[in-house]
Formats: sequence, structure tokens, C-alpha cells
Amino acid sequence: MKKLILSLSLCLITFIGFSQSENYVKGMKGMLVRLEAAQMNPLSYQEAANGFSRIAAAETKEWLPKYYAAYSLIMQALFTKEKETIDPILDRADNYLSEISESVSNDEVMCLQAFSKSTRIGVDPMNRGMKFGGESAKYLAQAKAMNPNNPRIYFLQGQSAFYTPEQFGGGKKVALGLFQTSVDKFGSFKPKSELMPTWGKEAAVKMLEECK
Amino acid sequence: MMKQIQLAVLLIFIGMLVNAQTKVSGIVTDTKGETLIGVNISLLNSYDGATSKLNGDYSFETFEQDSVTLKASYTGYSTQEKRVKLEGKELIVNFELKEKVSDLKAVVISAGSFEASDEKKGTVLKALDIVTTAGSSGDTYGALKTLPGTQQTNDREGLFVRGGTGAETQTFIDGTWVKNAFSASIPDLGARGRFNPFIFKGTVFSAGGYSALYGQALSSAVILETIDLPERSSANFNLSSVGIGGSIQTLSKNKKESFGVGYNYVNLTPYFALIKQNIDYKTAPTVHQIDLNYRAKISQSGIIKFYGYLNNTKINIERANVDSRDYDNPKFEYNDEFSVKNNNVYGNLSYKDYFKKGWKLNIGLSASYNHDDINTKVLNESNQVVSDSNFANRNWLNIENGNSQITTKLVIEKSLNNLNAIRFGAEYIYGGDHNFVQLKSDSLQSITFTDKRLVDNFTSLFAETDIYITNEIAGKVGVRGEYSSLLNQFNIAPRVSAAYKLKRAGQFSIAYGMFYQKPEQRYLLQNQNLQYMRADHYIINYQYQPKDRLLRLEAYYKNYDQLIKSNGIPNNNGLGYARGIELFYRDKKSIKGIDFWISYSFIDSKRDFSNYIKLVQPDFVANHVGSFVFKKFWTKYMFGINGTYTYSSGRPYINANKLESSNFMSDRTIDYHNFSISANYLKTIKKAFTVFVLSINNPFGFKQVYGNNFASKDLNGDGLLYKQAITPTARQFVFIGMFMSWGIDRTQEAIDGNL
Repeated sequence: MKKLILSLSLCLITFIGFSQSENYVKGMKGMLVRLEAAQMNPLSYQEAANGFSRIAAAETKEWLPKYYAAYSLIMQALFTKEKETIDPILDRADNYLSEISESVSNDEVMCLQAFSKSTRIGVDPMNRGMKFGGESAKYLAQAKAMNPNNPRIYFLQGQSAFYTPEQFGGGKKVALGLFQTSVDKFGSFKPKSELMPTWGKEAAVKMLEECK
Repeated sequence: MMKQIQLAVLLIFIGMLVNAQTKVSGIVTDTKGETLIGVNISLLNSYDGATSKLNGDYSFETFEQDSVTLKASYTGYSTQEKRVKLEGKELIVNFELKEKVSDLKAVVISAGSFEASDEKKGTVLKALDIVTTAGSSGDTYGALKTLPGTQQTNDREGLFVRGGTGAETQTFIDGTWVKNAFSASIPDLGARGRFNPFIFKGTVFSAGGYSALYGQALSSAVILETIDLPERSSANFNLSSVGIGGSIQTLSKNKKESFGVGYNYVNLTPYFALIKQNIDYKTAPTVHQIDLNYRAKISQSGIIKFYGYLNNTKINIERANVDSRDYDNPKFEYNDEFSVKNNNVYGNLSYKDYFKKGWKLNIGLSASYNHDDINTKVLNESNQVVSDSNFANRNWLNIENGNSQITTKLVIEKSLNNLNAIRFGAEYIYGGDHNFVQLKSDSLQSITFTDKRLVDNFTSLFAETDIYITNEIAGKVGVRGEYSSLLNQFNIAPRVSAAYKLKRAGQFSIAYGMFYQKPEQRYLLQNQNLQYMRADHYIINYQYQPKDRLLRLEAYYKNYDQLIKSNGIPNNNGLGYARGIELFYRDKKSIKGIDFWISYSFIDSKRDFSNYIKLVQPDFVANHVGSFVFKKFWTKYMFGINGTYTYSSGRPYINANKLESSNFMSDRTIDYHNFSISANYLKTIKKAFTVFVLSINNPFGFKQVYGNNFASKDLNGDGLLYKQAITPTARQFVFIGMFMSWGIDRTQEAIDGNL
């Protein structure tokens, strides 16, 4: 009898335990689908960011909810037209990134750091280009040192080259090479798990076409 | 037993299955009832929640049950939590969020001040605007002269603001006062600021009503902040029509320390040999200057900065002596020689750090030493000191002026919630002045006229609080108390300012302040029984700042009291007033690729002070002053052009032939026009980022008259004293230069500054 209770309760515990992690994967997958479906407007990315932030608040030990919350916020900033509201959005993104403890810091996190910095340039390109461009490049260099096969590194490098005038070492030609590398690397890129980042491929292909 | 357990388990599972979803919905608004879009509604400890939609509504479904916490969070607003009970019935929960006072949204008090900074929001200028303004000749004060409130007093030392003299504008570096902010000068020729504008990341020009943190400036304060650690090591070299120089700046590997040293040599001899001046330079301005800096990050948030400066300047000029005009054969028999040798040392050490619970500390220590060795001689044609009795007691005067200062300042700040803050601190200044005048009638014998010393121990205490009621309403209340041992006097100076933000991009601000300043040393040397001079400022300002445009309108009234009158023994019986309206408009948008600004100042000011015999418009005040500044850069050709046009109506001057009260200072000089243009071209030469600059001041050769000097005696007996106009030493000034940098690419910076 006691054995039965024990096994039942064990069963329940494992069931609950299992269900929690299953919940996490399920919740994340659901949000990833919504992120994928996010339209090119700030509100839909804000919705995604809010969703990931809810998961992040419940699953404090996981880094991916924070990562995707930050990514959604950067995307929100990218589509936000009111320039004075961009910095606070990116401040929140940076907050999530800094919350991801250094032990799990990896090339993907570095890429997002870089993406956040380069997005800040848009607020005032004339006065910010040098500062944030430099900081962004620094993060990408760190990412490259961690994993040179991450296609997002070259995509982001290509982006910044694309928007930098030729006189300053940018331009379409330079960008073309980087987008090509990115697309090539995407071809052989396999995310380590189903929740790991996959974004950037379509954009890289599109930008490559634009450079040609 | 067994059955009971089975039942229980079954019930649990059924309970989980039956456990229906609860729908939660509601509307989110702010305290004014406006709907908020994008608010994150979350159910604590679950993934459930929603985002408010376009009309502020949200809804979601959840399996959670019983008492839960519903949280609404939104950037810029205080988070709100509500305990609710989920029982399967549809639940409506509305939220009303309160807006937080935030740095980005809060109104900035703009009355009286113009700020140049890259870091702060809402600034009028960027740091590089200072150096890329044509006509500024790379001088901070030159650039400030294109802003409203300033006078085009290019014949005098100092920045003349809103009816104040140059001595009433004071400069502060990293919080501490700078005694000798201008380089050595010759009477009637003006002076440049000592410090290279590139060492500053922020400049605040306050034309009045400034904070209680600063004192001893009756009319205006120029507040400069030095740069922090550079981004990388670099080397610089410059060669120009006025001199040569170089510097290196190193940054340690851990990027926590940097050291820099620079040397500049200026010599205008070759330039003056090529382009004739209307006075004779026996020694064209010759300057040796060394700059040093050390900066270190000593903790996560703490930084120590040192800036050191050494300067040696020599100038010697000869010009006609107006008292020696020979009327039968119109020429001047004698010349006045004026020579100055100046040595200046300045050092500034500052420490800034942030601590827990919103505390911030700022400590500044600066020391300076300045020595002028001035000789004025009356020379005959064979270059000898005259023995003419008309020039007795002034045929050869030797004046030595020395001053040394030690300034310490401590500011403690405590940030409270919602941007509110309290700031308080103390300042101590030791100031020593030495003035030595001797008559060297012949080289063997000299008579000492004066040998005087002044020492002042000057202490001040100040406190100030920032009050933010909402993002729309903010105020600042401060008070400053000062004691000077030399004057043996206290003063208490209150300062108040407030701002109110209107809908869209407009705002109003107002400021009131009481300002005290010690009389100038030259008066104190004659009479130490003087009081502080006093000014009261009242300012109202309207600012409208949509993107890439800015319009400022400002009106002010100032009352001056206890000014120094120097007819006879100096006393505090002087007084005066100034009132005016100013306009500033900057636009980076309307004409594609061109950035321009317009400033206009109207002033009505009268003073009875100095050697004036009645209340009259001072000789440094022009009623109408305007500037037009434009910048254009062609990125494709890496080429840019900057221009500045300045207008000033005529200024009064003391006509020695009309000294009777009814006509005193009723004459005006001709209107002043000036145009400056500079072209720059950027090129990378073997890894050296190079800027070529060509600038011409007054290419159209407008005649410029700043005032008139008069002979002291009527030599030809026609009843009129001879008049000589005060003019620049040449109509045009041409500058050609090449600036090279290694290690740091300044291209973007240079372009930004030009755009």
C-alpha cells in the first residue's frame, strides 16, 4: 500500500517535473511561432517581447527567454519610427542581455549585443556612427572568436558595411562578400537544439540580392 | 483504502482536466485616461498574459486558479500589481498606470543656457560645432560669439554678455573656476581663450540665471567639461600658417588609464612678413605651449582626470603715439611700444564617482599661476626712450602682474526617486595677487610707483535641489553663501528656476537669480574697502524643438548694483540695467545637407560705472547683434565649407571732445559686418587621417571699427583732440593648416561637425 502511494507520488512528481520542462519547451515554441509570424511593425514585436519576458520572469535560470526578449525588443526598436523612444527600448534589450550571466555568454549573445549597438546608430547616424559602430564591431569580433561558423556574425557585419559609405571602408561591394559568407554559413548551419536561434537567413539572402 | 486512493487520484486528474480556463480581460489607461498600447500584462509565476492592443484592451485565458497576482508593466510607467481570484468566471481587470518622471521625457530647464554636448539630450550644439564654426578660429569663445546674448567685442579680452563686461563672464573647468582663461593680450587687440576646444566634451554657455554651484560671475558662466578616456591611442601633428605642433595620446591595454602630452609652437613672424599689418610687430605673437593629461578609471564608476597646461607668450608691438602728432607735417613723431611676456601654468585634478543608494561625489582641485611682464615705452625715431617732458612719468613703465590661485571644490549629490536630487557642497579659493609698477625714466634709475599684494581666502557653501513634479513640470531651487576675507563680507545668493513642457515639442522656462562678484583686482589694489558687485537676473524662455530644428526665444531683465566707479578712488556707487530679447533658430532639415543657425539679440542697457559720468549705454554694448552660421559637407568629395556672417550695430565710445554731460558717449562707431569662410578637405595620407583647412576672415574687406582713441592734448590748437580709430591690425586674416592624426580615424567626427 505504502509502496503504491510512494510510486504514485513519485509518478506525480516526475509528471510535474516533466510537465514543467515540457511546459517550458511548449511555451517557448509557441512564442517562437508568434515571433516568426510577427509583422513588420513595432507592436507585434513588442507582443513577442512581452511574451518572452513573461517566460523569462518564470524561468529565471533559462537564458533563451531573455535572449529572445532582447531580440524581440531590438526588432521592435528597428521598426519604431519615433526616434526618441528607441533608446529606452534598447536599454531594456541590453538589460536582458546583461542578465544572461557570463557563464552562458556565447557567440549568439555577443551577436545580439552587437545588433543592439548597431541599432542605436539609427537614432542619430551622424553623431553615433563612430561610437556605436565601433562597439558593435567589437562584439562581433568577440562572437567570431567564440564561433567563426555563426552565420549571424557575417550578416550583421554585412549590414553595417551596407550602411557605411564607401569612403569609410563600407559600401555594397564589401557588404556583398559578407552577405555571401553569411548565406554560405547558413547553408551548413544546424541549431544545437530546437529552441536555439535561427534568425537572419532570409534577411541575408534578401540583402545579398540587393547588393548584386 | 485502495479504492479511496484510486478515487482521490482520479479526482485529481479529473480536477486537472475539468479545471476550466478563466478569461481575463480589461483596459489599460494612464492617469489621464488615455489608452496605453503595448503594456505587458502578466500572471505572476506563469507564462500567461497578454499585451494591450491599439485601443488599450487586452485579454487572455489561463488554467491558473485561486488567488493570483496580475501585473501590468510598461516602459516609462510605474508597474502595477493586482491580486485577483480566478474562479472560472470571466474576469475584468482594468489598469491605470502612472507615468514615471524619466530622464528622457522630463522637461529640461533651458532659461539662460546653451549647451554643447554629444551625450545629453536636447542640446543646442554638438561638441564639434565649437571648432567647425567659421570665424571661431578654433577658439571656444569665438564660437560662443555666434550665440545670442554676446557682443562682438573683438578688441577686448573676455566674453561680453547681456550688458556685462568681459570680467563678468567666468570660466569653469570640471567644476572649478579658472582665473586666467584668456591668453596674454595687447590693448585694443582682443585675446583668445587659452584652452584647446578639443579637450572638452561638453560646453555650457549660460547667459544668466545659472546654478548655485557657480559663483563670482556677475553676468555669465562658461562651464567646460574635459573628455574622459580616449577610445584608442593616437598621435597628431599639425602645421599651419601660424605654427607647428604635435601630440601623443596613449591608452593602456586594459583601457583603464591614458596619458597624453602635446606641444605647440605659434609664431606669426612669417605670416606678418607676408601680409602687412597696420601696426609694427617687433615680436610677432610667439607662443610655446605644453598640454598634459592623465585619466584613469579607478573603479567601476570612478574616474580621476588631470589636465596640465604650461604657456609662454611673447608679443612686442609698436604703434603711433597719438599725443605726438606733428600737424605741420602730418605724421607721428613718437611711437608707443608695448611688450608683454606672459607665463602661465594651470593644473586641474578632478575625481568623480557614484556610490550606492544614489550618492555621487565630485571633487575638484585646481592651481594656477600667471605672470605678466609688461613694458610700455614712448620711443623716438631712433628707437630710444624719449625724454620729452610731455611724457614724463610714462615714457617707460614696467608693470609686473602676478597671480596665483588654489581652488578646491566638493560637490555631493544624492539622487532621490523620480529624478529628484539634492546637491550640496563647498568651495575654497586661495587667491594671491601681486602688482608691481616702476618708472624706468632712464635705465640707470628707476622709481617704484606701486608694489602691492592682495590675498583673499574665499569660501562658499551651496545647496541646490532638483524638483520634478511630473515629466512636464520641473524646478530647481538653490542658494549660495560666500565669504571673502579680503572684503570681510558675506553674501547670500538665492537662485530659482522652473520649466513647463507644453504639448508637442514646446516648453517655457523661467529663472531668477542673485549674483555677486568681487571687484576686479585693479580696483582692489587701489581700495580694499569695497563691496561685492551685485546683479539680479530675471529670464523667461520659450523653446520649440521638433526634430532637427530648434527655436528659442528669450527675454530678460537684469539689474546691476554696487558696480565700481573709478573716477577718483574706486567706490561701489555704480549701477545699471540691461534688458533684451533674443532669438535663436537652428535648422538641419529645411535645406538638404545644410545645417545653419541664426541668432539675433536686441539689448537696451545703461550703466553708470567705471569712468562714466552718468547713466549711459556702455561702450561694449551694441543694440542689435546678429549671426548667421552655415555648414555644408559633400561626403562624396570629402570636402566641406563653413561660413559665418556677423552683424553688430555701432557701439558708443567716449568722445574726448564731447565730455559734457549732455553729449557724453552719444557718438556711435560705424556698424560692424564680418564674414568668415572656411573650407576643409579630408584625405588619408599613408594611414594618417589628414584635414586641410583654409579659412579667410573678412574676405570682402569690410571696414571694422571698434572704437576710438583720443590724444590727451590739443596739439594744433584747433580745440579738438586728435581721434584715431581702433581697428583690427589687418582687414583680412588667412589661415592655412594641415592636421594629421594616426591611430584614430577622425573622418566621421570631422564630417559630423560639418554637417
